[in-house]
Amino acid sequence: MTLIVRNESPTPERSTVWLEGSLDANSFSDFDETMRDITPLVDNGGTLVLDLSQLNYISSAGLRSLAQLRKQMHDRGGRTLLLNPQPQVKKVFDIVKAVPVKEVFASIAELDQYLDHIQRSVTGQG
Amino acid sequence: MVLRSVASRLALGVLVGSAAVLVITGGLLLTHTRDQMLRQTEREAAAVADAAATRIQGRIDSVAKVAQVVAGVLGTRRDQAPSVIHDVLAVNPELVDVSAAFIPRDVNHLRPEDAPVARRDANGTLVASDRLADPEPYWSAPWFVRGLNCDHGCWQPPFRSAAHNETLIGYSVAIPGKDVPVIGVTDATISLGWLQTLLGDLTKPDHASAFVADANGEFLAHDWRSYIGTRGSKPLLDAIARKQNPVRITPEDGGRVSEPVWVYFVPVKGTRWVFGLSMPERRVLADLRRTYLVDGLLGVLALVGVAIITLVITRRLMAPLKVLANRAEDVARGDLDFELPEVRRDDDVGRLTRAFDQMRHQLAGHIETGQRIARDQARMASELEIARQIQLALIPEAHWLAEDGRLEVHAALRPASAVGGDLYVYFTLGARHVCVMVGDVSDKGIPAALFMARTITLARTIATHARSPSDILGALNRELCKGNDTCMFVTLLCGVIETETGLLSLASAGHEQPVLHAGGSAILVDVETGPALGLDREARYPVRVLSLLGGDTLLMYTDGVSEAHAGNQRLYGTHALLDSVARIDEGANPGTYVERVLEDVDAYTSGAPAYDDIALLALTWHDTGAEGARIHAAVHS
Repeated sequence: MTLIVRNESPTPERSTVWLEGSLDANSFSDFDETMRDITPLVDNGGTLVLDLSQLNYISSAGLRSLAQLRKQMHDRGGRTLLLNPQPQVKKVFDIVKAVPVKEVFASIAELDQYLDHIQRSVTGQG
Repeated sequence: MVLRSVASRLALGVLVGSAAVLVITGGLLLTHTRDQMLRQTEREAAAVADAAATRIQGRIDSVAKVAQVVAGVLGTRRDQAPSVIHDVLAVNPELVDVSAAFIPRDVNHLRPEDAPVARRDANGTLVASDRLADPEPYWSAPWFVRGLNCDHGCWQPPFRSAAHNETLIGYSVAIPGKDVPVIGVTDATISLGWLQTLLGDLTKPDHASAFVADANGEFLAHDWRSYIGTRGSKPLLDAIARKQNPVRITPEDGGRVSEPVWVYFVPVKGTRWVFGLSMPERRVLADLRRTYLVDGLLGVLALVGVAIITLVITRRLMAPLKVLANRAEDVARGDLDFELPEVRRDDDVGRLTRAFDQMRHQLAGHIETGQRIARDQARMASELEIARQIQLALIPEAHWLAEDGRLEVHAALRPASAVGGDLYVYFTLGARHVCVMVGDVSDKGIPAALFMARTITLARTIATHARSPSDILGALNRELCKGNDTCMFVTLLCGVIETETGLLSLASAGHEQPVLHAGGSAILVDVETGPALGLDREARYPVRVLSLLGGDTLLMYTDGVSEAHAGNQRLYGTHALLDSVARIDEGANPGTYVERVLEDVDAYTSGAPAYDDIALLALTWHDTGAEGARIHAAVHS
């Protein structure tokens, strides 16, 4: 199974990437390469959202890629949030915990709420 | 083989093709020329025949004139007939005899004057006689009766004269009377010898033979004397009757000839005679044959010349191709080191030669690259094999039995390729604890193997002073996080067992839940997991404590077991694993567990090559004397 990566950047603060297919030992290097072009478009301190609703499978190699992506964004003060993983993918996240569970969201509303909360705590309004 | 060369085949092709064209055009030319020669000969023959017919006509016209004059004179001078015919014969030297015959007034009293004859004998002397002594009465003879009906004269059939030893022919004219239309017949006879002489004197084409035939088709004169007096052949007479002029007569058709002949004929006016000219076809066409033979020889000469020129030019043009063909065969044998001839031409051959040279160099380059890659691959394979041996040296023996015999461990490690990222390890912690670990490094291959080596080495070092799996994982995690920019991680299940009590503490860093086979059933042990090692420095790992009873076996494994599959097959799954374990007899040693689970997984994938590394560790507690309740507790460190 192959991996399809689509990207949409409405603002430099927040960019969304859709993953479709399988992120495994065969596809992770393509994914890394694609993301190398996308992440610079996000501002330092910005948010990268990975929409996983169409991702059917993730292997440990794929988890490593996500972890590495998260680390790179983190080093620039940014965030990587995962949106709406399918149950079997969610289960892997739950077991391996390669990304913090609190950065995985079931819906866009949940994610927006989280970001809103973060911003308010930063500006001291929370 | 001469014909293996393109040049020879081209030359032969041109030769054969041109020969075919030559034969066809030659055939058409032959037919055309033959027709023309036949028409030419026909014109010549017609001219000769016309001239001959005119001459014959002139001669016999004079005889007819004489006969008519005599008939006119005798109409009123019957009694002077003997002297008249004598005088006429005297002044007409070409005549053999002149005669007159009157219808007798009284057959019983015939007179010499009734049928006088003036005859020229062999010596040229004129002799007067009469027909009274003829064996048959002259007045009833056929010639006389026929002559009576010839008012304007007609030729009698030729006859043979014994006295003159030649063929004679007479012209008869009826003698008119005063009171009656006809009183008798006068007849002038000439020898046909002049006709024969005339034929011989004719200016004829070579090999032509002339003849004159009468109305019955008998030859009056013929260049072939033996034919005189005989009848012409049926095809000839048919052609004369049909006026088919000219006519080709062959021996096969029934002609009296030895070879095919062309016959041209012309009717002689004033007679029912025909003058003919016969020419052998072979002679008519002799020139044609000669001409055609010469033309044919010249044509063949030209063809051979063209073929030789084609051969020479083609050989010269194709010479570099021959060299290329030889060199290509060298290439096919693997020999790429040779010289190609210098070609400055810009034509196809020049381009081909240059392209061939480039191709050879590129091929040599590819072969060298291929060989280098093959060498590199061989070296890497040997390096990988060494790496595999080093990796296997990092893990302890597959089987271990504690000195007191209470704890037995059996493990297996099967990398999917030469080296892998799965690991198992067990070691004692002081005198009363044993630590067991099963782990799975993210991804596979060499990076995973290196990270696995790092993990095992660190684990052995760090665990020495720790007693809790939580502490071990925490310390190991912090070490592995250092400098881990690539975010490699390892999921690890760590257990520490008290060898005296069978108390087992478990902690998991994102690893699969272990299987416990106890009391006849196989269950998954629910261990709350922390993050995989290497990612989050702050991670914490809860501990789950189990109290093993005698005969209990704990099975730790990696996802190479639970997610085993072949092709698009469904994953093996934990349910299948639990079933596999449940089927094992209670009290079996851990080696049996490892063996049976691997057998079942292999049976599931039908022995297909594994996608992922497999690590499997079975731990059996043999303390049969121990009693007490299983402790289920989670202790947070």
